[in-house]
Amino acid sequence: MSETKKVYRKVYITVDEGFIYPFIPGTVLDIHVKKGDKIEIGDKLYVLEAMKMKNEVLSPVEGTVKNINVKVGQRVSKNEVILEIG
Amino acid sequence: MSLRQKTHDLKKRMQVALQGGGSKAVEKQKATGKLTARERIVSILDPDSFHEYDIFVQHAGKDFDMDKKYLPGDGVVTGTGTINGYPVCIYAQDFTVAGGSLGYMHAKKICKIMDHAMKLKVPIIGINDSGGARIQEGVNALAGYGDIFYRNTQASGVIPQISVILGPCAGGAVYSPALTDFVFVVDKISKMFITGPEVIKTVLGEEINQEELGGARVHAEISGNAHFFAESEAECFEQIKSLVSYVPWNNAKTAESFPPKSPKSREYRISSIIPTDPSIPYDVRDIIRSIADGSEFLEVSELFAKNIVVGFARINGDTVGFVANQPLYMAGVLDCDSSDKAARFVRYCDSFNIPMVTLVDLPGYLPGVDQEHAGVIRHGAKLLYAFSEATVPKITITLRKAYGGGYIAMCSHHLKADFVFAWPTAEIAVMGPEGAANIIFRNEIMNAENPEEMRQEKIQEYKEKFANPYVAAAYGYVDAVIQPNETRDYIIHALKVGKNKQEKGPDKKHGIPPF
Repeated sequence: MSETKKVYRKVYITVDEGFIYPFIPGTVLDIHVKKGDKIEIGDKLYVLEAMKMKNEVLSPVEGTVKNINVKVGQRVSKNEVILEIG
Repeated sequence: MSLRQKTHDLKKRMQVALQGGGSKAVEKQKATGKLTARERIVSILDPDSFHEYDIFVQHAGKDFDMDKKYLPGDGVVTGTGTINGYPVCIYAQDFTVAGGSLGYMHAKKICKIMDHAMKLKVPIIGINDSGGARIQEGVNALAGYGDIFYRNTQASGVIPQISVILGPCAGGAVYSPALTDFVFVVDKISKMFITGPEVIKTVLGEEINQEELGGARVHAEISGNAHFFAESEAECFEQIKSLVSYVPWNNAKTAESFPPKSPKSREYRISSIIPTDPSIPYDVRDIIRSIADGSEFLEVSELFAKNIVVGFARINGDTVGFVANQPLYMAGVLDCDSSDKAARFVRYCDSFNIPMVTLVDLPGYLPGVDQEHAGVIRHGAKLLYAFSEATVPKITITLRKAYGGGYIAMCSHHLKADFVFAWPTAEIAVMGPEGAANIIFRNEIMNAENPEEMRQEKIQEYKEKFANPYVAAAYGYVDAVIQPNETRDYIIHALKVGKNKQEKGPDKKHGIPPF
């Protein structure tokens, strides 16, 4: 039961907006920020290439970059956390 | 009694009825940032235009000592009025009276004003703020819901139906809004769900609060049940007024014309919005604003399935419905939700004689196990069905990419678009150059000394030959290749010559769309 619950919450509810998930599976082309950077809402975070489109991903939150979990050139799936902002 | 005494008696009765659930209940309602039922109606309608009916209706409950209770207006306020001079019928559930619960007479009042709207052929606006069925009235409460749902269905496509969720709307009650054309929600005030957190906890052991389960944001962003999201009731009422100005009173009329306005061409320069590199996204709403009168665009379902943009604007004073792929979000792909969202909007426009403008820039349908298992086949089919079925003037403009099934689905010539234009930047082909080259030149690439070099060469070859609007134009699938700054003129002309369009499909009771 607890396992199901976890998946359910992950898919339908963003527990923490500072966890940046890709909105579509793709490839990370560029990362504009480093660990420790101060981020404002709307700042460019990284470029995700998906469906032949270079999507600039903007920050939905303000805070400091706590972790970057991917490298440039890495393929990412929908449920991977790319960046953590807190 | 003299007339004066009788008038005095009437005033006294009115006074009691107008108190609703009493000052304590009203205070409680206001403490949560909510207005009362009558205040809401008055805020939506033109000043002094509201006329209330059935204020003396009494509830029909007999059991559980209900016969000793007085419920003013049986917890719902109904009447007629105008919005910007447009006639409308309106009702608002009064949460201060028995929690706005729906009993037999409460439902009768709603049905009566709905029947009224159908006879007068004017829009109906319903404001929902109710705890649900009045359990004391038993099966009669259920009968009430059923009667309302039936009327919602009958009125669908005949008169515009607008639902405003300004409080809880739980259980069976949610299906009346779901059957109507547009649902408005307000952050932190609206709550919609079939079964509440209590039941979910008991039955499934899952813990969730009302807001996360069925708050305004959930329905505007995730479920797609709500079409308009507002931060406050006041903002919500402005949205309703704006929407009403774009739609006709009923399906036998066209929307009201307004004085034509030019787009704000300094802010929205149509020729410089689209990046030259087809892999760089842009906001397609800027293109819409660069075409629309006064650059005004009322977006529907703004937060849901953002990879497609739908909404109303005016061109040369007349309402049009826009459907546009949004490259800014998920590259503008078609998927389950975006197909569903667009298909419903197309059917709305078709029902109410609103010409459609479709702007195309998409890489195709979204691949993936998720999508296939979620039913992208049947959801995607809805869009094909809706566009094919629509008989209003249909204008399609290909801005950039139009590949494969996505090209067909986006109101192509083949689905009987009346006017098909393409910008010189358009790429209309069976699939993207990369994929196509891999298939067509498979052997050449495999047998080449340097396969990667050969692949790039063949991709380039394919691009030059097919990634343009001229191949489709050579077959007559594109009527005209136009410059971006000619777009508005071409649309105005198409609307003008298409005004008397008449098209009739084969006789049938109704089709069987892939619901």
